[in-house]
Amino acid sequence: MSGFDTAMVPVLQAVLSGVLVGGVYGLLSIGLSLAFGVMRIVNFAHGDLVMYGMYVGVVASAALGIDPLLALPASFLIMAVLGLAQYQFVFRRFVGATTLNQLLAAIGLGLALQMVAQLVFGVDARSATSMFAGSYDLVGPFFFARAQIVAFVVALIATVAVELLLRRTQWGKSVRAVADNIEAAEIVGLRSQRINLGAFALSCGLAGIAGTIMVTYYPTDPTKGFALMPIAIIATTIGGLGSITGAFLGGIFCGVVQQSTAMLWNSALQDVPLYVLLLVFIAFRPTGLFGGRSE
Amino acid sequence: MSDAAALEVTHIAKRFGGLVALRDVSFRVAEGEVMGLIGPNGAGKSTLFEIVSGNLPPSGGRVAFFGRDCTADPPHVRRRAGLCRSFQKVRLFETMSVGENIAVAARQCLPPDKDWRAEVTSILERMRLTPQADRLPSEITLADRKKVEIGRAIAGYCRVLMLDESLSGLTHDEAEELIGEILALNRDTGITVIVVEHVLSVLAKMVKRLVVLHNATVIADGTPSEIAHDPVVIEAYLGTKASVLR
Amino acid sequence: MNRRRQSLILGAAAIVLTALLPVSGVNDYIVAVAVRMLIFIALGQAWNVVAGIGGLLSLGHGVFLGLGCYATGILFNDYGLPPWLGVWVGALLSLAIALVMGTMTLRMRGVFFALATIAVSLALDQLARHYVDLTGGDNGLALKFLGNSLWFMQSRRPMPFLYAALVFVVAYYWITRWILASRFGLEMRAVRDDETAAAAAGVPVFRTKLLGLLVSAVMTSVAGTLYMQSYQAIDPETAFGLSQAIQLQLPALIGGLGTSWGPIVGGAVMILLSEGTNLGSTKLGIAGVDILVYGLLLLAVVMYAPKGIMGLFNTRARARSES
Repeated sequence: MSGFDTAMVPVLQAVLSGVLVGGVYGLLSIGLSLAFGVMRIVNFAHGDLVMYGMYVGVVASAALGIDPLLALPASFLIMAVLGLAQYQFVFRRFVGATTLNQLLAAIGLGLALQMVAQLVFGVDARSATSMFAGSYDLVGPFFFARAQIVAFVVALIATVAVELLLRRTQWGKSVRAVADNIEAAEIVGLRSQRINLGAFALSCGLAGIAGTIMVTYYPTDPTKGFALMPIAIIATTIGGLGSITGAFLGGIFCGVVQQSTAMLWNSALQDVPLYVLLLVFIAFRPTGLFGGRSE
Repeated sequence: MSDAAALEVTHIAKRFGGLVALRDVSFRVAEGEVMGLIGPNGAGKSTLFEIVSGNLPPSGGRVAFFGRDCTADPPHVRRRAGLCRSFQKVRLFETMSVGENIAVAARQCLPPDKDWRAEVTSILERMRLTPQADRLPSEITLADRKKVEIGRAIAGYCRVLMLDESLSGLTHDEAEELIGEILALNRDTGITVIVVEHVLSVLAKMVKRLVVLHNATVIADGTPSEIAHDPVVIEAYLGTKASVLR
Repeated sequence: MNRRRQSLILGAAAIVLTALLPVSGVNDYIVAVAVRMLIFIALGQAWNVVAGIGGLLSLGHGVFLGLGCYATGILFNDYGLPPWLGVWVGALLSLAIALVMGTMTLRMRGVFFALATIAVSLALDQLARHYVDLTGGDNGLALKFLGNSLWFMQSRRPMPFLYAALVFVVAYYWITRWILASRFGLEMRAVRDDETAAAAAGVPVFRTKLLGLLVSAVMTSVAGTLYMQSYQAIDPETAFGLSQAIQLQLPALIGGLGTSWGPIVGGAVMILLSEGTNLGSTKLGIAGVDILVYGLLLLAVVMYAPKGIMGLFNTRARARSES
């Protein structure tokens, strides 16, 4: 192998790891993007549902002896139900416009969820072991944690499934109709509140899946959810607010930028370029890379 | 009167992606004129309105205000120059009183040597809103809300007033009253008025000249009676003649 | 007119009572709580300008608080520059950051600006944690204490800060009143209510929003210097963390957004609640209950009393005047 190739290995390794990590960031973001696209709700409590999803994995593996991967459906359902409750009690009244009050309500809700987690699970970090924990795959000169590969695949499947759901099913079509023009949708007889409720539950269920898959390689604590929100927000904005595939690709983009920064500059400052990129996108390309809603 | 028109739009075009909203729209409005702009829903009236008031950039063409090209000016600059508008769905400052709503425009657009308080008082009187001055917009009738919006539109400095379906939603009597006030405004102050409506019936007695927009372009320009007998217009409104022209 | 006189008398009474606190024989703890209350009222008054009057969703105002604290602290510790001068460096830095942030995001509507404020505070958080030599990193920055001194704005006891903070609150109250009555305030409220309609009334929307942000940023940063001198320490979490950002928002939210009395009433309520829960949770041995209280408070206010305490008061006054 020539000297040039050897020098490039760590960089490529960083990019490839970034893609894997970024896929899961994408999974974090598609739910957020869905809620914004349909209801104009920026759900800052989304990350806290991800955190609860992580604890579902912890409980499954530590208390019940079940592999977290098998707990994915349960996690989806639990968070979807929690999402229904959130929608009914809080977000229902904020549909249609991102207002200061909506953002603050979501933050307040997130804080409350975080405190409940702290009271139930304690402040210490917890992790869950899946069947793939600790195994690594070597592909040429690159190595990957198998748990991350699995997580990436799950993220990809979830994204494709949501896109198909929105594009190919009758329900998906009505969701998109409500997202486009709520008044017109109601005139043709769609019941927007019920459709919003479903979309919001789906958004929260996705947060649950994201959390449970993440905890197979990343320990959790009650503040983890909020700590994950910035990346999800940036991925969603870069992908184009409201776009599902955009959010997924935005997540990968963020993962690559983050891992490359850590590799080439400084891992303690790995997120700083992302924050700068967010400002740049807002200023020069608010519809994101993949054309979401510009408002 | 100078030979520059109060408002002149020349070869205006607007595309949204592949959709053509306006193509080659041109017309002039003389100073002091009361002109109607009509067309069925989707003809491009709203798009044209937003382009003239500065909220949408045209894909091509220019807008000139008293001979000066203002195509690149932002909306607030046009307003300060005297190009004023109302909104199809009334947009007031909902947390501010009727008087404050008018004061916003008066304090922006009045020449600095004039007293804005006096201006607000006189606008309130002209629009017969003095008793409502301290009320919130949510506490007054739709007809009064429309009057507040027109008052806000003309406060300070106004040379051309563009009204976007201001008469819709009003009862016959309320509409009559508002028309009276708009015509009085034109008579007393010489303000040029452009009225956009999708039905002609209300406009016929109000304007001496009509421009008809259909399928993204101007299909007729003339007096109301000329328009009513114009075969192109009748063709365009085929089958809906009765509802549109009367 | 009557209400104006009422509020004047109330205000004067509050000032006199606060000023007499140190000579009334209460202990320093009570005085320190009063200082904390006044500082958060002042910070709340600053946030109220951009968010309450201007309607801009700033969720990261800790940026300007942090810049005020760090600038005065670093300049004093490393260069011996007294806070009387350091405060202006902090204000200039805040102005610069606000200018960049505002120019990049305020042409867009609502949500983008909110996201940008979060991004900037997180970026500063990571930078402050990393550049340990300059900022003290995670452990934070402690002011070198040189003994009681007016020139260095230092005092072992909280009493001088009580008067300083009182001056801030009164000054910021008058600034708020002035803004509300001025043409600039009218513009900001118009933009808050409806940007498109404001532009159609001749208001330069972008410039108005930017100016509101700049004024608020400088007010926050200057109050940040007082914060630094009073607490004598700052760390990344306290400056740029979420719970601080919320503490900057709650006074105006609880009291009433966009009103001159709102942040004052709300700040007092917030600190009393926070002190109360802290006392309670120490006894119970549970940490961080105040965060839960803030969360629930936030939720309760925005859902059930979006106009705050002053809103309840005003609705009643309005109802009375009409009956």
